[in-house]
Amino acid sequence: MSKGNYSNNSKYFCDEKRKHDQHEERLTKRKRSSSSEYKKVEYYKRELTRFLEDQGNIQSIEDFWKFFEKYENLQKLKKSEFDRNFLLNVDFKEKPSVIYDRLPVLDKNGRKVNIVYEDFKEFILIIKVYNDFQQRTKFAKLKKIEKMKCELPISQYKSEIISKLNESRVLLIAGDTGCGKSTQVPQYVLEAGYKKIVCTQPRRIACISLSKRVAYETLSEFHSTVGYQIKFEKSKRADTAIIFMTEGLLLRQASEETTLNSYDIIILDEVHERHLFSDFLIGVMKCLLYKRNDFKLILMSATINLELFQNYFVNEHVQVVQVPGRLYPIEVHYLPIIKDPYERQRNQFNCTPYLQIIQTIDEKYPSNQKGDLLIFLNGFSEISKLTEAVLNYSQKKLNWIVLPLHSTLSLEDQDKVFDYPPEGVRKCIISTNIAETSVTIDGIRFVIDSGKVNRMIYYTGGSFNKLSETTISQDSAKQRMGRAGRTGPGVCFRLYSEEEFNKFEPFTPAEIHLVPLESLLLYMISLGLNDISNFPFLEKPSVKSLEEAVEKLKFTGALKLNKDSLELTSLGQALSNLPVDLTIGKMLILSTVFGNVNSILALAALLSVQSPISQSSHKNLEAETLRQPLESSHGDPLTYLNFYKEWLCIKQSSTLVSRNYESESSRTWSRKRCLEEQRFYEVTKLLEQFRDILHDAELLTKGIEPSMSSGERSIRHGELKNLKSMRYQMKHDEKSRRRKQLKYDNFGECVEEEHKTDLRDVEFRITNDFKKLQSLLNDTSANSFKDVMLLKLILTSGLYPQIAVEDEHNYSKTVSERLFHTKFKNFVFLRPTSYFVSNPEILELHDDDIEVPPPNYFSRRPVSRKHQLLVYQSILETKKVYLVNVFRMPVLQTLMLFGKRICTNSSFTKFVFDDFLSVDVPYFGQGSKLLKMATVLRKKWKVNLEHKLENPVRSCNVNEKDVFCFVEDLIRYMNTDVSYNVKRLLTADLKSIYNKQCKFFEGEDLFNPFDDHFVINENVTFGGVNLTENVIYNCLVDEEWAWDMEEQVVSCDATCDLCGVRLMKGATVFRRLQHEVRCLQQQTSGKSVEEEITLKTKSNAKSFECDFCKKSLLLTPVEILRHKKSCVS
Amino acid sequence: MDTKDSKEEPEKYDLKGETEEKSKYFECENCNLKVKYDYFGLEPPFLTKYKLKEESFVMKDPFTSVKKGEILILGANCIKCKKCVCKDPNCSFYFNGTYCVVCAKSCISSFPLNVQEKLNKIVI
Ligand SMILES: [Zn+2]
Ligand SMILES: [Zn+2]
Repeated sequence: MSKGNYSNNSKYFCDEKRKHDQHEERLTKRKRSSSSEYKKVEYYKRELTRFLEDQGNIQSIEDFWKFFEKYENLQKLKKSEFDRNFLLNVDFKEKPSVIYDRLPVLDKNGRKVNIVYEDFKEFILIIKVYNDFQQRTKFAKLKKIEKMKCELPISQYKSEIISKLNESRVLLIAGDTGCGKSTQVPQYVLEAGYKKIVCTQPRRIACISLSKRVAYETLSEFHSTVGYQIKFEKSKRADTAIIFMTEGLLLRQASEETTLNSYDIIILDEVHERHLFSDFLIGVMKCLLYKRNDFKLILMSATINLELFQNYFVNEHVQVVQVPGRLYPIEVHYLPIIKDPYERQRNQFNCTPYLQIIQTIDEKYPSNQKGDLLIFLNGFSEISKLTEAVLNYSQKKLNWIVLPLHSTLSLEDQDKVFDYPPEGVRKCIISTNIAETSVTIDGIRFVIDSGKVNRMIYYTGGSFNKLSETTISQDSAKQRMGRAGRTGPGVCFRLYSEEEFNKFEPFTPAEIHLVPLESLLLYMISLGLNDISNFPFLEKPSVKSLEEAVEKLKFTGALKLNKDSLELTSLGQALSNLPVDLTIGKMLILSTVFGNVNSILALAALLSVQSPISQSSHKNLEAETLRQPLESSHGDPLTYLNFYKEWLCIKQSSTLVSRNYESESSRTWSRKRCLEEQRFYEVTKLLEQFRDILHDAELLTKGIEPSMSSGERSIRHGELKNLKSMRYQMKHDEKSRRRKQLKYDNFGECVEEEHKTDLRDVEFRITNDFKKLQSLLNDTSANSFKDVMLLKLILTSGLYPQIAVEDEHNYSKTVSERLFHTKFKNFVFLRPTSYFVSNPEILELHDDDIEVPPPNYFSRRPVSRKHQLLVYQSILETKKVYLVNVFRMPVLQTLMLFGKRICTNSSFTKFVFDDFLSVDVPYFGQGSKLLKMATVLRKKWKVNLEHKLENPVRSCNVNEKDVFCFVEDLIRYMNTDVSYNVKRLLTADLKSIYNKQCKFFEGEDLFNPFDDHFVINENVTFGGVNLTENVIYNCLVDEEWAWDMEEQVVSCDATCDLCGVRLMKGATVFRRLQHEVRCLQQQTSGKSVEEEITLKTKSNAKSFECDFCKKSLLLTPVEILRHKKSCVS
Repeated sequence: MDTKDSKEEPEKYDLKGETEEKSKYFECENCNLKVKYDYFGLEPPFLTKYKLKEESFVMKDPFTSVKKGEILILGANCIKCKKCVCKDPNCSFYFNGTYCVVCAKSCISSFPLNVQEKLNKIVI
């Protein structure tokens, strides 16, 4: 050991050293004399674990021993010429001799631990060197973070951003993807001294990833300085300074001002995306700027349509900072496709221009020059066609790997676009506009832009979505081009001319012009913003779409007009609290009334994600056969529910790392059936989120977790621990492996992956333990008719008036594909994957279902008890018009229960529902009986719902029995036998079906047999009288058969079954009904029947002798006219 | 019982009193690195088993949980010129005390030979 005089404080050092040395000598002597069984330090690896942890504060013992070995080997090679302690700036607080006494006493065999003191000192030194090494690594990491931050384009604008922010209340930062604005601006603002910063994101996933990233960059991963808050999760504490949240959440906070008050900076990110609620949020913020003056607003956007935002905030003196993105020069070639006007299939997608460009690339650019190709097409079918064509093209040279990219692909498959191709091979990514801004792929050198996009547009007036092929905006074209210049100079081929480009609309229209506005409106009214036309919209929506939204909300029963101002009903109030689509919201609320929450949650979740049947399932017979036993004859949603249920079963029976190859993994199971497993994971997550929503809205108590025994608990505990370490390992592996090399494989089927553990599976098992899974499973089963019917009723209640009926020619032999009609859209098809496409006979009336109509009734439409209609979730128009997610329901029962306007004739033999369907019930008494049942049930339905909404959660057990009886009644009602036929009304019919007269009730008995609390009143618009909110009686122009039938009834004497009183001829149908109901009421209340009233005939009835049939009758003037007319003909 | 397991909550660490204080920044006079630090001195309170041999700027290790009680040494003052320098090998050098690279090079001969070799590799 060399005694150095390098020390600056050498005196202190030498004194210490001397003392130390004396002590050492003693120790060395003592130890050496005691025993001869000395062992090397490494010998005690196991025994030293605790020591290293406690005394050395070493975190990874394994890592330390690796280092130890390496270091020892290195020391053998070179002997240091000075005390290595001089290189270390850290030392133990205590002397080695003191620490020496802390060594474990006994080894694993119970023998004394014997380490030579000299060896121990070396050991201590290595611990210190190891720590020093750790310090260096960590410091390098810190340096790297700082360096990376400095290299971002936005870092040069840091001071400009801060100074402009200090000058103004509104700041607009425009910069393209990759400039670093989302991660850096919140940090700059924090450094500038602001304490409470909120930053909104349109996507939930971005909130989490950004908060993690920013926490890492601000070196506060293990603090709560940076957090996030999304719908159902938050990581936020009192000391959180930067918080990322979804736009929806900030909006909610805007209504509870106290929360919002705590922010001093509000950042709205990605405002250029122009989502419905982000536009609205900007409007709310503008209002807030005037209400409060203690916060500043920062808008961040891509460099798109800056003028719009600048003008919108011109009075607020908005400041602008523009950050150019990192972009290399890009050559643009305009190659318009010249179409042959005589070509018959000129509107079909043509692959040739694309293949020609690919060929050009092959010829012009040597294969050793790297760079991939990105092609933008509009839709799935175009992508599949071109994928096949390019595969064919590269068959010989094998120099292109083709990767389709669209949102319906599983995440796994989407991720493939990030992998890199082998040497000399290029990637050809064929994508929808998803790669325009959402997915960023590096290494793209060539872009082919078709100039087309499929845009989902909501059509007001027709209430349907149209996925239509349109030209893109100039701005999209620029974005697409820009994808070629992210990693180096690039080339962009535009399959349109420069003139065409100039005619493109400058910007993609905002969502507010494209989607239905119900949820926005509902939300605005719930915030008290009733004066919708005066709200400072960034861009005003059309008056028509606002009006339609109001109508729809009224139809749903969410909105009512109270003295000329719009008001939320209790249902509307509840719906505005649920951050989901209106129809889904209604289903969720109802599920809490009926107590079948889990099934409805699962169904609602299944309807909220894309179809679990994959697009590639087309014509895959094997998969179809495998799916068959799980299909439900009721329709698509229930079929999906069965798939999901079975998937859960598979999950339950297969263990994680399945060494047992007999039980197949859920992944294999799904793949074999052409089901997208991803959807089921999404459903599981969504289902829990829906449950949380209901819980937050106080409609549901937190489910009581099935209790576990201590044994089960400890098993679960171990399992969890295991799963978590597995997840950690997998995530770690994922990071270190990052991009894989793509293999050349035409079919892309990787067999070896089958038995690999799946990260999603691990995460699924972490959140869902066995017990929970089992209870989920039990609750989502709907086996009995009763269960299924109840589910369908709840779905219908959410989806009505989205119903469709079959075209009458569907069953003629010449029809290849069945057609349906809805109220707004005629000639609609079923989706190829729909249950009823492969099982059309379920909807068909069979010969023995068709009944012989009663005498005097004639119609070419068959009379039957088995008519069914389809309830659908949505209409989608692509090249054809499709019904999405359909299920069947009995026609008349459904219409009477959910129809908004039910019109009927004087004898209840004909009904017209919502100007769409007309139903004849040519058996006297059946119609009124069913309608009576329906009105009672509707009322109960309403009462139950209101009761639930008024007394959330607490009283939910009280009316359990009532609900049970109610459900029984509902099912009985749905099974009521009634024979009828159905006709779809055409616009022309609507002009002549209503009589628009209402003279019937002059001086009459006003007892309402349908609802004695509802005062019968005249209906001026359609004629007749209102019997309930939904039923208009006697407003239909009668047909002959109905007259005859009424005539027959009225002209006969009858005896009341209950009281035995004779109902004399001449008493009208309505009068007879009044007696029946009253009689029943009095019977049940025990009173005797007051006779006279019922016997009275109509006051204006006269005795009348008919000239044609020579009968003598007691009729009113109207009836006389009718009789004459019928007799003449 | 285990419903919240999926969320990896950040470790809770009581920072009471410290959040109110104005943040102190360490700034390297050589490379301009600027980082918040938690402590300057020889015995950081959150370090139990170890001590520093010279007064240094220290932060709680940002890469591990606070509970683990690890630190990250950011830098110290040069024992010759007193400049504040960071631990980057291009900014400072430790041999029984921190030297800024300029000072280290200027007194290179006073170091042992293989230390000199290391120093020669650094280009200012
Ligand atoms: Zn430095
Ligand atoms: Zn110096």
